[in-house]
Amino acid sequence: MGFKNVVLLLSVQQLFFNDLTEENVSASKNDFFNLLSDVYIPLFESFRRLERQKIPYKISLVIPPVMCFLLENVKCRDDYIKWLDAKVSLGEKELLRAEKIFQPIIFEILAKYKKTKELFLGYSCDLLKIFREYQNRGNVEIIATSSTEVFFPHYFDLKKVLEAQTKLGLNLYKRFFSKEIEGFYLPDMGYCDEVAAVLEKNSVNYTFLDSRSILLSENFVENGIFSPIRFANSLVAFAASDIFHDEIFGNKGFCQNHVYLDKNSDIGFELERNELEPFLQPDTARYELGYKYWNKSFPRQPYDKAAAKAQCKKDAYSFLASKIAKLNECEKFLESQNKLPEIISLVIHLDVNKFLDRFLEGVDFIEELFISSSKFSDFSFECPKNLIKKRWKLQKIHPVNAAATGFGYGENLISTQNNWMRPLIRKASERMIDIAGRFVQESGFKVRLLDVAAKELLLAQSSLLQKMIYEGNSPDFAAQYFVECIDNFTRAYDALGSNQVDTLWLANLESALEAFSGLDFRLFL
Amino acid sequence: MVVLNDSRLELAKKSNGELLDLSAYGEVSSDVVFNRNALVSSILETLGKTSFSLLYDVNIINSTSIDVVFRDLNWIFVSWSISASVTRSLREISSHKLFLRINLFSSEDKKKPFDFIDFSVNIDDTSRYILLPHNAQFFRVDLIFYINGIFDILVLSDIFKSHSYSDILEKSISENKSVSTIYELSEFLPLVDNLLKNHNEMFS
Repeated sequence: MGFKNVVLLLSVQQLFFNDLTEENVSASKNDFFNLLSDVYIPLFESFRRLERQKIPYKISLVIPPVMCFLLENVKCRDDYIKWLDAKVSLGEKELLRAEKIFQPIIFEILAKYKKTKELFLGYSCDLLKIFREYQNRGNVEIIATSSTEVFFPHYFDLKKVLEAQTKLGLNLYKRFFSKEIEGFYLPDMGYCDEVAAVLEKNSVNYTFLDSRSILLSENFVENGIFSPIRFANSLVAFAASDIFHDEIFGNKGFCQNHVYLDKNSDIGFELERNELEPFLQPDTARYELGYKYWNKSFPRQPYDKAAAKAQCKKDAYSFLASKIAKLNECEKFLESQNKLPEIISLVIHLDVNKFLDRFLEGVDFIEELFISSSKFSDFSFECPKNLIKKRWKLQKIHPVNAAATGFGYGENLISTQNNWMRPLIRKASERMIDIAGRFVQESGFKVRLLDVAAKELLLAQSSLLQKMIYEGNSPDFAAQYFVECIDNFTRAYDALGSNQVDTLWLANLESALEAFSGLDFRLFL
Repeated sequence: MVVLNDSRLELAKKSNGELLDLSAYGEVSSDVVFNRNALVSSILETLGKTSFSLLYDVNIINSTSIDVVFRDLNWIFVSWSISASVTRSLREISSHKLFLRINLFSSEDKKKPFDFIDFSVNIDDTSRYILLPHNAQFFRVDLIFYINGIFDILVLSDIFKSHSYSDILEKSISENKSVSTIYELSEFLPLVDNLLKNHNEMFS
């Protein structure tokens, strides 16, 4: 750890599936496999290359619980291998169909999928084990998060919901990573006053807040976003500025450079349906099939990987240089004021989903950030837990409510498109707290009903559903999924009152989603 | 509960070329940054179709309750439900009136509001966005009915503390922050600009 530090934080939205054993590759499962093929496996390869070149790297990863379940699930692993095989078959078909000009890029993509399969098998299909290995080496810090992507400020007056989501998230984290908890990521950095006590009660040492929460507090924050702050209790918060995020992913961000790959040029979106059989399920919405040949220029040009790589190098350098310049200026200024703290730091927060959506060269960008770092002296990438060892010396602040979504307050999560969900999820949350207390001494099928009710509620609380509806990203699916969860919850709630239950329905629900199996409703006590 | 409309799904099955043809036909301007979801949404909007229509059954709640959530610093979203039996009774009296009352308190423990504002609502309404007044330090929302000269509270919320833009503008954007090098390096001014923009748009 040096004096000047950058914390590189990668978060990913929570994923969910109704049924892991589903035979057809649904669009959401396809997204998950793309995440493995285009982000996490390349990231591990990037770590290996950095190690070979003896380039130091440290990174913090938020790995949501549902993703851990999927990575652990044997059926899901088998499906991923089949999915990779299908990509290879599609590539071979594409070699016959596509114009000659695209042959080199098809060969590259084909080679990527073959290599990914080889690596995956080489990892014994166990990516969680690889995450743990990097964590044990100290290069990666895994950050825990809530059990589903709940927006904490929406439950500010239902402390038991905040506690249940936090406690379950942390329990799952311990189960998958067998480590003591250090950091906790609040989905969308949604902060409200009630959060600090809940996190501290659960022995969390630090979290991340949107820079608004800190800079717009009544306090004068002596080091701005260049030092973590401390709450009234021992909890620490790092400030993350969404302005840095926009510099990369915004509409004028680095990712929009015309040399980068255009996601929308995927053959899954471009070709006639009959040309895509049997790789695109009939009568479904189109989704990416992994073969993209065009860059983002207008009029568009065939993608040139070497040109994109060169641009990525330049962009990563330029981005990092601007952040280090900030750290240097900060150091100079604080020194001139005789207020230099022991360390200064800056958080760069990247949303991994944006890599898939806007910046397919994202992992190259990260690797280039680490490579570029060797060109700057007196600075290092660091994991947050190493920066809070003297937390009692940090300035005490009372942060204000804010979030890293919407216009800074989560407005998109309670918009005219999705506000109809609010009364339903609110009522279900209140009912869950009520029945958890009333039926705490019960046993037998009532406990099974309570556990199912808790599971359905946690899934319905995912703000990802509100986001999907707001953004027009499969809103019908999100609405239907939400309503099914609420219906299932209500049916379990009614069955508790009437003492009548359809055991087949209950058994189906219990086995439907392996994630959260073994969940105990007493979380809501 | 939710009636799904297959228009979006039908569009999502189409290729980029087909979508662009449709958007040109419907005079939908495509984004500079091409985005399939955005294009599908704009086509649906032009066609006057939403992806699904909401018909959720309030009977699922079947109790009289009120919920308040902050949409941002100034706006709250209030949703409520009225039990089936109370709804029936109210409907039987055609002269009934319903309204939401925002009671303003100077502190959380005060019993009596120093002021209140009423918003008329219909019996079939279930929610409303409300802009909090500047002086709403603490507030409570009541759902009230009026029948033949009698006012009564159907349900009331807890008392909440507001965190308004004005509060932040007054207390958190001090001159020493605005001229501070550290705040400048922390990108404070763009945050303030956004805050002012949101605040001004709200009152323009």
